[in-house]
Amino acid sequence: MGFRRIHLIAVFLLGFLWAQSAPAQNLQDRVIEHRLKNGLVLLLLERHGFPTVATSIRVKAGGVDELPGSTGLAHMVEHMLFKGTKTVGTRDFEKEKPLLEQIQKLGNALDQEERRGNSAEVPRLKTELKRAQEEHRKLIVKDEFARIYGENGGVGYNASTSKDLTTYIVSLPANRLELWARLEADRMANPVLREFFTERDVVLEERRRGVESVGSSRLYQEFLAASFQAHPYRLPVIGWESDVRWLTPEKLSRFLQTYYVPNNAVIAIVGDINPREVIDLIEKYFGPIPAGPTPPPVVLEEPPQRGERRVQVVFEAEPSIYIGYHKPNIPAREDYVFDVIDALLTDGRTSRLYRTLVEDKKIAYYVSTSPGTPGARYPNLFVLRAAPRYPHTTRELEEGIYAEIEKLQRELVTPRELEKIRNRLEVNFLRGLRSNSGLASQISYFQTITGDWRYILNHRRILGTVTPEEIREVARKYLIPENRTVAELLRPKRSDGPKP
Amino acid sequence: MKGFGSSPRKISPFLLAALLGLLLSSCAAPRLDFPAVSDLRYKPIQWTPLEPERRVLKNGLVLYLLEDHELPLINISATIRVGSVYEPADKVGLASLTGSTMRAGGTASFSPEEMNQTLEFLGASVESSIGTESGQVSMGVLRKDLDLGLRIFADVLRRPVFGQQWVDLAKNQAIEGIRRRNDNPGGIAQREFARLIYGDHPNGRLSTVQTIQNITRQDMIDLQRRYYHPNQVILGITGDFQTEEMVARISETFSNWEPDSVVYPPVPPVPREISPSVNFINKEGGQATVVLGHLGIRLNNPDLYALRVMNHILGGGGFNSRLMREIRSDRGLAYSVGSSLGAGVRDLGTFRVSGGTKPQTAAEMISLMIKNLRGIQKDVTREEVEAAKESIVNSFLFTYTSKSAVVDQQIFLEFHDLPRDYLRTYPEKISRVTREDVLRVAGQYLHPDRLILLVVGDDKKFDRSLSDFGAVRTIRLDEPLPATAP
Repeated sequence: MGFRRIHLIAVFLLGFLWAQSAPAQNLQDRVIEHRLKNGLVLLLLERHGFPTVATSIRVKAGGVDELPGSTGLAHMVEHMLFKGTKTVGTRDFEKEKPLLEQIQKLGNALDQEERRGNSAEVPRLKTELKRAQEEHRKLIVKDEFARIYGENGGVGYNASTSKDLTTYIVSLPANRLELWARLEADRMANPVLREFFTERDVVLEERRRGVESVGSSRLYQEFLAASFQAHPYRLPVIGWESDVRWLTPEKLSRFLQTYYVPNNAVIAIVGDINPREVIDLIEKYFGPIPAGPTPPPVVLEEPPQRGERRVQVVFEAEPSIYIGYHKPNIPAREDYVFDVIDALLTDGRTSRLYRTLVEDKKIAYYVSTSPGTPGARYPNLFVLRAAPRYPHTTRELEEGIYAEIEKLQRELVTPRELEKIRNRLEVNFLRGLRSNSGLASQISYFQTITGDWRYILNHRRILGTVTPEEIREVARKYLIPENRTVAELLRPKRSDGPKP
Repeated sequence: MKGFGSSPRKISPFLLAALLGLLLSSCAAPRLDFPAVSDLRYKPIQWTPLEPERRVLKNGLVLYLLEDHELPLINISATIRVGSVYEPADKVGLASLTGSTMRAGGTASFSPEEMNQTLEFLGASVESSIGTESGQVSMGVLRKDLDLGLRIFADVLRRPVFGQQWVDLAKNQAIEGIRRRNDNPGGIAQREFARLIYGDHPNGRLSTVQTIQNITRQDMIDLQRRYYHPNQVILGITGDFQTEEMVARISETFSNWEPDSVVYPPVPPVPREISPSVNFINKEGGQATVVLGHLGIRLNNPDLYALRVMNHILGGGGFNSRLMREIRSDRGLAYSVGSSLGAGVRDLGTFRVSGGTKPQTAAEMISLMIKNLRGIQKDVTREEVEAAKESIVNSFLFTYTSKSAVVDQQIFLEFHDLPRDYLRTYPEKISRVTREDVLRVAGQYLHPDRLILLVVGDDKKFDRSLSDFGAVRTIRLDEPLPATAP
């Protein structure tokens, strides 16, 4: 019976897509996939009209590939890959080598003495390190990658690290693709980790700015650490402060060697291109980079949760809350069902939680959900985030949220609500096709995570087969207190306030 | 070959082979040989910026249209001559709340519920907002839903009803926003810096619980009636349509919208005389956040181009700027540091240098910022100027990466009375900037001895007292707010 119903809805939805989705069909035909002998996957999408291209390189290496004691490694690698190669960022690499070795020795020795609290040696090593760094600086061409891209009209030159992967992006005038291929292949093949110890300080500043000064970031960090007890999804991408403080160049080299191999990377290029020419360029520059062993997957599995977990963070900021439930990840059927639940609860002004908590009960400042936190490579969380409107409390928000979840477990979602979700998804999909960088980002992301960028196309089709019964079933199975972690951000109690 | 200077992949077997190859060829070339960047040659780009179609209806409504048939979508955006600069001082927040409630509070033909359900079922959107100098109402629909979308869009523009419960919701949400605006040091620093620069001028005013509570539904109705007339509106239309059909459709929809003259309240000029000051806000956290600067320029300033080049070199050019190099890359003192040169459309914008560092290096970073302001007044190399110019000129293509961006820019120019060829001639004007120009504008427009300095952080941990930079004035943030009626 259940099967039959799914089938009928699928037919209905196919009809819908047929009417709407010529551009999706179009996308399917237009994305050119090319696999180099060394395993590098290239996705190309020709899109004329403006003489620009957007590029995205994804390396399947992120925070999840780290161990306690080396957290922040993937992110630190990302920073260091801006520092150049044997021919970029240097006046003479051969002359640099002895200085690089000296700096590494001094830096490691300084770290060791500082950890020991050896106040006799520390100042001397600091002075010597500083002198060596100043000597080294004479041989460096500062931030040459950025300078070359800048002078050639590149915009949005940046990189980011998530739990799952590391991304390098830049958009360029269409005639500069060879420059891009030359620089990026060099970055993959010949990175030089120069200026390591200064950059480690930069990352510590990034951490102070983004995590330590912001209550909601602290809350998120604690929330993940409580939700996962074993799996590395519990670790902050930027790293724990003391781990980052003592990262070494040796650890970075090992990480690079393991994960930065062409068979662990995906490139997407979208824009005003001639695909034949681009394939030749990529073959020419990236082709000679040798493949490496397939990087190891994370085998550690999070044991099933057996009861609600609750953490609090006390910080000078207004209250907010995270609630998370463990769930399967892509490509599990449940993952699609959670995408529907996500939209039902918080996508738009007619979504259930927005209406109840913000408009009707007027107890929330905001409420949002995410169907796949903190990553998608491994089983993850369905997360709700909300902030109360004064004088309401996070506990009242929790009650309101749980009441809506119980409704999902009790009542079937109406076909019209499902149809609304599908329609919105379809139009959002079309809107996402408008920008070169957005497209490059989407296809390279899903190629890296799922092994096939067509996930984007199939996603909407499969979502259309999700039934009201399935939603109720998934809500009953996963959205239960035993499977839940709650993190609350609270203001410190004022000591100078009136005493009772 | 030991150490991290050598290839980090030296252990893997494939690399061994590569190394052997390298030894055999007995040269110091990298493992994988790449041509020098300077040897690469590029085909020139042949390209003329698109020109949207401009039409004016009898009632003064201006249309800019550009067809785009790649996807079955249509977008319309109205830019309206209205803004928070015109709102009364005791009702700061009125313009912003009116903007959002025009949409959220329903219209003569559509209750909020009906509008939300209708639009969201179609995957369509209509939104409205009011900023400092302009208002926006925008619509995005699938081509097949144009009729319905246009009806709702026109109704939001012309016949909003501001349902009382939606007025109350918007006000209460705004008050909650006020409660939360001191949560993040970066937000505090930028906001309070604007207050220090502009004082009581509308650009520096801040909403408070009181100014929000002063706002009534009638204020919103009056504001919409006063400013929303077709002769004060420009429509930008892009997407999957035929221009003539669309012009007819728009004329039909808006032909009975009568023009009316609008008397704008006078906006006082930005006070020019600001005395330098050192300001401190106590806030615990991982970093000290620093903003320093003074008044900037207007967008129509003929020195704009030289100033853009100057600012690029100083702190606007990301990794390629001096501030980033000296403070971040060489010393590891900051993650984010840079400068921005605000060019106001109505009056002077602000010039700011901002950054964050651990409290123990706060004074060191401030000194480096000031040193760099003085430095760029004394010396700039020809190479720096050429690199900055190339960067600005070559990335100019990205000003036009979509048809809606092309239309938005034309609307911006007309809205602010800028010449229509402003953008087309921009790269050429940047190219003409010389090293001497850069030095001259750095000397003329930067005032390292008359700075307003603001530091947000924990001063107990600072490396030096802020009083080294001048007499310190401590600003107290609002205490946690009293209970307000929910």
